[in-house]
Amino acid sequence: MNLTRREFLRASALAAFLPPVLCRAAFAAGDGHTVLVVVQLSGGNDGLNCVVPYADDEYAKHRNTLRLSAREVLKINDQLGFHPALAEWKRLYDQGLASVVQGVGYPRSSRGHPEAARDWQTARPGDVNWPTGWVGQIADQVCARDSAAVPVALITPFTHPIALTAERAIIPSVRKIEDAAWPASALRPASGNPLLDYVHTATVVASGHSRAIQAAASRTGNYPATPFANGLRITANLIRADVGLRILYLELGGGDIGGFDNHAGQKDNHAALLRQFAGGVAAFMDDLRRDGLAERVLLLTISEFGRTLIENGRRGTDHGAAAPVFLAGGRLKPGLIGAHPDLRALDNGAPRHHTDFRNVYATVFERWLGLDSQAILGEKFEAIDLFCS
Amino acid sequence: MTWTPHQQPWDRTRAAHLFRRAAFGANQSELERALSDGPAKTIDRLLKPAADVAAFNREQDACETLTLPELRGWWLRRMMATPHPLLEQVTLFWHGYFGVGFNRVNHADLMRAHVRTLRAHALGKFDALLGAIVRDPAVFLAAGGANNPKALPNEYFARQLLLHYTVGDGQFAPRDVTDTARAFTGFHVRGGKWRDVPSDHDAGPKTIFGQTGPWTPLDFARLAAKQPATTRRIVRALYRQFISEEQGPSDDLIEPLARSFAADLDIGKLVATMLHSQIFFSSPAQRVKSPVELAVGICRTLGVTVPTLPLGAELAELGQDLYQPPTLKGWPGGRAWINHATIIGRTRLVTRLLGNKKLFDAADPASPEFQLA
Repeated sequence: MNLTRREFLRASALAAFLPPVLCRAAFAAGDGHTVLVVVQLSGGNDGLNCVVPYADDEYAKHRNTLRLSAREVLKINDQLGFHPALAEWKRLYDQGLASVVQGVGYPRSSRGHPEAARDWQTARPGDVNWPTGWVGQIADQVCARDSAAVPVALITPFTHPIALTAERAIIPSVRKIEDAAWPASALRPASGNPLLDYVHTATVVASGHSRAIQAAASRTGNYPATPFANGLRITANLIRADVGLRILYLELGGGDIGGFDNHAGQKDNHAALLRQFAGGVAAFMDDLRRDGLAERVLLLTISEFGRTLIENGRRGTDHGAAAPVFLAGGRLKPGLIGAHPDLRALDNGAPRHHTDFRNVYATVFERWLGLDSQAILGEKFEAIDLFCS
Repeated sequence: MTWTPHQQPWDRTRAAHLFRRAAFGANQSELERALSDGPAKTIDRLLKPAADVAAFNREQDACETLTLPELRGWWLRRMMATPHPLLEQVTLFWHGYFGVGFNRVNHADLMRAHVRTLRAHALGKFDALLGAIVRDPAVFLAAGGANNPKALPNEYFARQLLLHYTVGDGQFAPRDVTDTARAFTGFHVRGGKWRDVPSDHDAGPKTIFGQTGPWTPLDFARLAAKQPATTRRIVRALYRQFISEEQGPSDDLIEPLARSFAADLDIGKLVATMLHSQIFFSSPAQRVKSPVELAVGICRTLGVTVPTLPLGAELAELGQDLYQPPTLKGWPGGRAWINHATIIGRTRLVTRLLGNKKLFDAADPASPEFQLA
């Protein structure tokens, strides 16, 4: 028992200075610890009910039950306003901590959930055999350099999305911060066998990370009492702990009833989701700002498609095409990016895209994560001006 | 170090090593028996147990229910209870080798049939295994081979068969791709069912690996199985499974085994040669246990079973989701099993499975040794 205790103390002492060093080594190939938070809005988010063209007659004409008036929206300008449930988002937007890329989509969307979700998540639209997700591909790149590294985490509860399919990297799911607690009492010293030493080093680093995460969790901010906000609380704690995570992946909506796929009775359900989204992200940004971390973080939403302009007679909307992508973070160029889609030039009943989602991805890969976007996307997509220099 | 049979004194350490690598682990009485029987007899018994394995597997087959979590749970139970653990270990090896996953197949019944096919041939003849693989709808769906029209032969599927299942990267010519694709024309999978359309099969002559004939999928399997590039690849993969993931074996080491394997394509005999060898017994701490091996190993060693539905989910989070290898490349294995997150999950799992630590020799779950085979 004494011996074990002594070994434990020795290992702990070692761990106290080891992790940050190894951590930096593992991620030096990045660009100074920027973090990407991906929020998957499952089901197809109705962009027209988020960034509302309240002054457009076409909008007023076709949205019978969902129509928001000039008085109801949170005005961005004399044409567009945010849905009233996005009040907290509007606050971030006014503070320069949020922006919106309008009219994002891609050519030849099948407008089916599994197919379109697959397209956004593999970033290889139309290639039904493409084996990995774009987040998984990035994780694989990191793990090829350091197989013990954990660059990506999935914040659950939520089944593994295609985006996280990797060939090599094992991506952890974090349900609660206690999942990262180091369970063992003893660490043995290194041995001289390279494989044993590898496991030992991973163990020492992991126990250091575990302590850093528990410490970070003790400084957590205030969040609304929703599962989504709780996921963002865990996300903020993992970022604060500085354990080398580069991408954190969350989901909102559940991809089922109560999610974004509002074919019927959309009004209240969608409003509730938007309130959860905005409340969670605002609390998250406030939490990060308190610790001076907002500048290291970019939050990005993805959703398989937008929805039709015309209501479907069941107080809902059907699968559409383009939709806005929401961005939050401390280094954004504020405001609206790109024009609102022209409602007189629809794509089969829905707003038409003018910006490919892969232009957004390419920008994030290159300018935020410091990665070669062409290697991930398979071709060159021009970057968009999203960030403050 | 060579493939000649091991001659060193037979002791507890070596017997335990054999069982860890070839039977998930040994309990006390298995170890005692191995010590008194000696290595040759023990290895023979691991390959061909006296128990009625077929009856056991029939019983298990009858239990398997058709949701993915349940299939996963039943397989874990089978691994824990089977009188033939080596068969399950090699079945798991082939599952990784072929990399067929529910995420691509989307039919639980096809996944169940696929793993049963792997089990039926796991220690049999490799050409028979490959022959079954080229008639397995799950394989077609997983490897992009659902459609094989004569008018547009599916070269993507052909390339996957050459790249992942047989000769491997750099070992085939463009002609092998086009003509393999032609050999598969007329065989489709629709709604999870076979659809043979004889009139859609290109019956003309094809040249695959330099041999010309009116080849069908079965001919492809027969020709591909005995290609030197294929047999070398199988020997290397089994070397990783049974001996070392740390150092790739030299060509000199692989060549004699690949040659004798090519002569009879007998997987059981190849595994036996490896298990008997000097090099096998000189390779401790050269592999990382996969999550399934780690959990099943503890249960078999302690002689306990645990609820396998939650265990299956937990092992999936540690990177090994049974019936769902991440891609056609299977699980990368080795050091990839251990990262700064999985080491915590693995240690937590081991601590819980051990329950009472006193039951176990050197049972410190935080010890690096514990993670290795």
